[in-house]
Amino acid sequence: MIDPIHYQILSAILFCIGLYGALSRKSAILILLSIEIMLNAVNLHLISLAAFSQFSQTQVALGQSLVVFVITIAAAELALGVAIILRIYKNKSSIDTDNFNLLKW
Amino acid sequence: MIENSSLASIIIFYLLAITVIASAIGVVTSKNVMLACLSLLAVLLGIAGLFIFLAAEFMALVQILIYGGTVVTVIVFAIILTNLKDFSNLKSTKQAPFAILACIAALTCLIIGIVSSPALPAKLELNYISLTFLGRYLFTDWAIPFELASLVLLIALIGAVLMVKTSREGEND
Repeated sequence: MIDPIHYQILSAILFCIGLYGALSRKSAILILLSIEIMLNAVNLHLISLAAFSQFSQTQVALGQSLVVFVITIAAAELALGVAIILRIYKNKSSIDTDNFNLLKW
Repeated sequence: MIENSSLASIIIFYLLAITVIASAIGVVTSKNVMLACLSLLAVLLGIAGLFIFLAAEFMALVQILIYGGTVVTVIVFAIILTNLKDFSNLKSTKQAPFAILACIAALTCLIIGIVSSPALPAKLELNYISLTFLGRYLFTDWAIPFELASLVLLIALIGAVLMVKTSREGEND
């Protein structure tokens, strides 16, 4: 049978794949894509733990409500991220992260 | 309640899991931006399938509508608007080997933590809650955070519009 541990390991693997993408990609858009994968891994973990919870229905609703908030913040983060990328592209004509060293000292 | 111990459910789970992991690897390794974006769509839809499998249909609908519908569209628009020359031939950074190391270290820590923690008091059947229950819970116990989240989303969208607004002639950026 499918235990909660299957979902936990699946979301751990997904999270690490997203982490690799966020650390190794050159294009800023692809870093945003990798962050979306990481957020989805967390959502999957929350929903699976809620679905297998032994407690009352309120616990299940709590897990799903947390996912609603995560999705809301992820949408806001994506909108701002794309806006920042377009702004940087307009100023520097590039979205290569190697060119964004304004804050480097 | 959903039957969770049958052979069919195991097969469906592993099919969905393999699809999601393979597409996620496609997202982080593809050399073509548009291909990575379409792989992300496959990841998101596979996770929506897992949500349905976990008896969270409303979450699956939200996932398909917001991620499958909106997020992927926004990213495709960002790809089109940035109009890269090396659109289909991405190079990887110098820190890719270190990224693999960090990723493997994080995965090892997570899996050791998951396996060594005491087994969760899990039930054999999945919990199912109705959409009515979820809605009542969200608008009573979590009403203020819910409204704050909508405010955060509104402010973020206004900020995004202001940030990409083209300036008038003669006006500084």
